[in-house]
Amino acid sequence: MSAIAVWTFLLFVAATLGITAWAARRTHSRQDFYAAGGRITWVQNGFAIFGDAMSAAGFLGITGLFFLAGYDTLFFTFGLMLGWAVVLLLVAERLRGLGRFTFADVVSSRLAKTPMRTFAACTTLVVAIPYLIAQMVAAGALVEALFGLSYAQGVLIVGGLMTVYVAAGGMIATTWVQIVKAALLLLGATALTVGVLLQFGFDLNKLFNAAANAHPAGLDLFRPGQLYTDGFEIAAVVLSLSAGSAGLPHVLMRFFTVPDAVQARRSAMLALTLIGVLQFMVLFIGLGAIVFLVDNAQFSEGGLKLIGGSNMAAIHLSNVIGGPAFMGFVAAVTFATILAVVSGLTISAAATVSHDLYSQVICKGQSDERRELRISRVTTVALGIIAMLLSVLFEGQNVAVLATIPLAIAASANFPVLLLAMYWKGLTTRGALVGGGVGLVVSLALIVLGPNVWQQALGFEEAVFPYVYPTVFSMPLAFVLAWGFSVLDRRAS
Amino acid sequence: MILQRLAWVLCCLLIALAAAFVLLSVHAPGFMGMPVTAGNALSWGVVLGIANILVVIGVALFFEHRLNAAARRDAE
Repeated sequence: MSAIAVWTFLLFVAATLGITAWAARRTHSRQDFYAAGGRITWVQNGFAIFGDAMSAAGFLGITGLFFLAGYDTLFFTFGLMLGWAVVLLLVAERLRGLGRFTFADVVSSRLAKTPMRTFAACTTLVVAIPYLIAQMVAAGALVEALFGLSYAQGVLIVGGLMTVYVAAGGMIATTWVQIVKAALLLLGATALTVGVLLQFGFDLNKLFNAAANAHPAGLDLFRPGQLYTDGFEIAAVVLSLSAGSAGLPHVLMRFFTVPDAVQARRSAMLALTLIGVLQFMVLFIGLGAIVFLVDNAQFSEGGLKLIGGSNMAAIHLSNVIGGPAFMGFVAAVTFATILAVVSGLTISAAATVSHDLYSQVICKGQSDERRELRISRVTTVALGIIAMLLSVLFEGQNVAVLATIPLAIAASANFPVLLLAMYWKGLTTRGALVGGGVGLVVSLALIVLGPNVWQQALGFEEAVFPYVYPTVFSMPLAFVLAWGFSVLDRRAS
Repeated sequence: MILQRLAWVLCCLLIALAAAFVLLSVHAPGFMGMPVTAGNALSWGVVLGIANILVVIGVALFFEHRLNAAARRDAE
């Protein structure tokens, strides 16, 4: 690996540790630890949300998918954009108006506090922990492939740094780490896009034709059907990404860091725009990867089979475009991306344990603030250790398997309850618990019975449930049950 | 209240737009893969896909202005 990769990464770590030290001096209260004192501006928050939403999967994963399947990758892009439009139009402003630190504040605002907070805390942990492990497994593999360190060392570096950022600097440090990472990611993606377009004199027609000539699918690359032929499956992908984005607790928590509801909405607008810009650039990066990497003996084991897997498409392309130095920079940015996302996930999980479970459920809102903060920090360290141990156990596992779980659960359990709690006065506690609970259980069960777990992870010949994303069943079921039980409750009373 | 309804209507329209894209991709893949002009690899699907991203961003920016005006009115 080039020295520039190591130096870029060390520079990022040094800068973020400096930020953490600065943030630690400003973190005195619960409000500071969970919500950065509500002093983050909408521009800063927009960048931080963009950073949270664009994990390694959003950049490396979608580029790799475009490299393999072309057109069908647009379904992922749409799902993501649609989800953020929903957050912008329906969720952001109202969420900030009703909540204080976590999304459990919002879902329990009109309903019975103890059961709703317990439910929200459970779903937050069920979403955060697999997502955390998925990111750390990816980080371990990346470090192994790029920096020449062992997988366990990679996991240890990410886990250790994440614990320091969150435990010492709380939300202020986590937000600034995300902002630095978001700026680096945009810079890296822009340089890569301009580099690709420069090779074709900014002539899109030349680029598209060259990609069609290089890819084994030819012009079919720009037709639907390379990845999915079943409309139901496409709907499931779009629905999971759109509703899942609006139900991820670590992303929702960001809206509590700005001073008011209008700034929350503005930050969602900026995040949506930045996500759109990045996804737009990913299209050209994907095309560039097809042109320069297919059958390139230096990076490909033949055809579309890249060395290190399809997720390495953007990294290999950066080597072609800018040489080892630029590749080092892009690799370091990717590593920074993972580091920032795991920090965001950890703080949402720590906040739900200390604020929702300890302070609100166990102490009934009468907890000592210092003790609550100490519990947050202890939880952060415990989560760091658990995530590191599980990541070592899950070494070599398909990251997609782990990443499917949080999105499907967020869409099936969190999103219906959150939307109904904010917009429907008729929702009752029993309706919310039954709807959200069934959404959680059904989505988990169908993921286990689906192709990713049943076939790939457990090795059975055929999956019991044919779709990767169960959201198309579990989410409507959650909505219907929440509505039905609430109506029955109202009639009975 | 009117703005809240408008937000819901816009969301429904965006969902309909995405649904139309999915349905066209499944039931008329030939059309979605058709080149925009002869000798061009740019397909209608890709062009519509990019347009879809831009529409979502455009709607967001347009709506931002309206919602800010409403928030100011509420504050007064």
